[in-house]
Amino acid sequence: MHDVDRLFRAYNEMLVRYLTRRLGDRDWAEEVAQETFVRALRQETMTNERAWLFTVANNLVRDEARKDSRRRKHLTMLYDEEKERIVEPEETAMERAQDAAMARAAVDGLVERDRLALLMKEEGLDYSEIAAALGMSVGSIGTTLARARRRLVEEYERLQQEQQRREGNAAS
Amino acid sequence: MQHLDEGTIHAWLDGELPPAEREALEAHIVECEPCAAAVAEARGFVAASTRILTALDSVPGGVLPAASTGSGTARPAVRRRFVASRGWMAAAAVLVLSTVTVIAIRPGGDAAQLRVAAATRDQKEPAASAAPSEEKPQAPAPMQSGTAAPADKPKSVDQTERLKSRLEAERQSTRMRSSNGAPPPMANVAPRARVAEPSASMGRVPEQTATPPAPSAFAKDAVAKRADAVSLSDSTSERRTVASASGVSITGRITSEAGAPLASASVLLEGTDIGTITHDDGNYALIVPASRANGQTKSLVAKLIGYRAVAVPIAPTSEPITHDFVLRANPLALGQVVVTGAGTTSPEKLGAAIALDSATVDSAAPQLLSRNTIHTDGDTVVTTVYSVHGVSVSLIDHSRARDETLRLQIRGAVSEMSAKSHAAAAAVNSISWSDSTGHTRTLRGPLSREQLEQLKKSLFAPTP
Repeated sequence: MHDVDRLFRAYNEMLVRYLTRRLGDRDWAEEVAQETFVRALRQETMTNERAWLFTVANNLVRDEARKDSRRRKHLTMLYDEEKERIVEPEETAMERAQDAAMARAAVDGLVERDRLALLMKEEGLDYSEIAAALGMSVGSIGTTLARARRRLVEEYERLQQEQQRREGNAAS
Repeated sequence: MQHLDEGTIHAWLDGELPPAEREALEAHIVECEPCAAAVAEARGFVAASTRILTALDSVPGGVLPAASTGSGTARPAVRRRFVASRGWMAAAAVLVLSTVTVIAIRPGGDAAQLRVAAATRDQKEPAASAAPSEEKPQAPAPMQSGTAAPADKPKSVDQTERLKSRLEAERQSTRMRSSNGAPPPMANVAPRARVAEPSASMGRVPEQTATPPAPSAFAKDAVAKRADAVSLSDSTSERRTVASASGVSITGRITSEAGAPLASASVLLEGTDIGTITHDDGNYALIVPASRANGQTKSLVAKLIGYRAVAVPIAPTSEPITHDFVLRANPLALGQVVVTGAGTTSPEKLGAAIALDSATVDSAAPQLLSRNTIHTDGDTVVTTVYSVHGVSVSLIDHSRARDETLRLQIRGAVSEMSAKSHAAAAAVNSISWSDSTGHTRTLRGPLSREQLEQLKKSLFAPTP
């Protein structure tokens, strides 16, 4: 039996942030995190806690992945629809939402493995923990992260330029 | 040395290169201009990635329309999946063991003994201090070095509460399932967590077992005494005690006009990130960190979909605050829930696809439907719910939904982007809901078209 209290205190914030970034929904992220800790409660032994928690969270999310793609499709439909309707957007909130949407799109553009490695790295997991959670070799993590970061940034910048071009067109 | 590959550079920036490689790399980039440029570029990527990912944190909950469907109904399905993959998990655990050098081996020992050990320590502490009191064991013990006990972050306390209530529910359900009366080991968990909270005693378990004190009669007595204390105190006052230890607590209960407790209502201190949701019994507890309890007046807002939000001004100081809310039903908000249609463009186009069984559902709008199976416990399949984005149908009151009647909650997800265009079709075998007068009504199904119409009318009915 595990000292779930301690685990929760130590890792909940990290896990929720990771899952929020991954799933794009805080409620859902908290649900998954909570379920992860319940799993931890049932787990007899656990060697590396952090890697274990992230592994379990990843597995829990994977089952929902297909639904996620449907959700995204739906959201895209709503977004397109809304775009036609909105005339004068409220600035700051809108900009922030735009940033978030672009970040989301860029993150979603990564292949699954790159995305997970990057998000886990951002939560402070070291290469061996990431390797363990993803079933990869430690030696390949550097390359994976390099690729993930490059693609993320390049995609984000591309979206940003596209956005600016659109705004330029709208203004003229 | 050849030019560096990108992966090595990132590993170096992440501090993951072995010393020998690190030195070679550092020597190389001094001399090699292209590689120095590559390092600079990689640095940029690392920093920019972090910045981009940070933008994802501002996403609030419930933005994705069907997310709450996932939260309400997917959990049991996930659980089932987990059982099937437990073997795989064990394999993963072994993998972790073999690749990670820092290993915290948990004592496989007797849980009861560990508790006794923890209790003994707790018992000693107040004895050493000047003013021993009943409250003392529940106050957070000062951080001690040597163990990895994390800082007690006030922000996560309400989440801790939620987890606890969840664990409590698990414990109860386990107890109910065990027909022979012998409580399974799980039954120990929640009380232990409560007694220990928020002291970090569990974090010191390895330390304790290094020199296990013999469980003396004194220590056993202490355990028994504290168990009594916990069982006597009701959940609210207990929470209050816990809360006051790490900040200022705000507690209370949220009920409907009819006096029924409202579960999953949100309580938020406006303008802050301090908030929580109510438990099944309608109680909530949240903590304002001591640093922010400066007597400034803020709004405490209670909200639940289908009810009018209520805000009260409060000025947190060092005193615990208790405030109960009574929320009035707001059927107009429920008007945004469309129970019968399917479509995502406009209300005018809705209405065709009423789904009453799987065949109808699948042919009506296959790409919009997701299927969730609701369980009342780990194994029994009770009913199957088809839901569509924009509306979630979730099982409420997990712990008590053991009789035939499922208590389902229909929630309309009101997206910030487009409230009017959400649509849904839900077909369930049995459904309960509160109508606009606060009465609980139940339909057993499969629902007929007429029943569904009734349901719709009931949800849409204006306040009399």
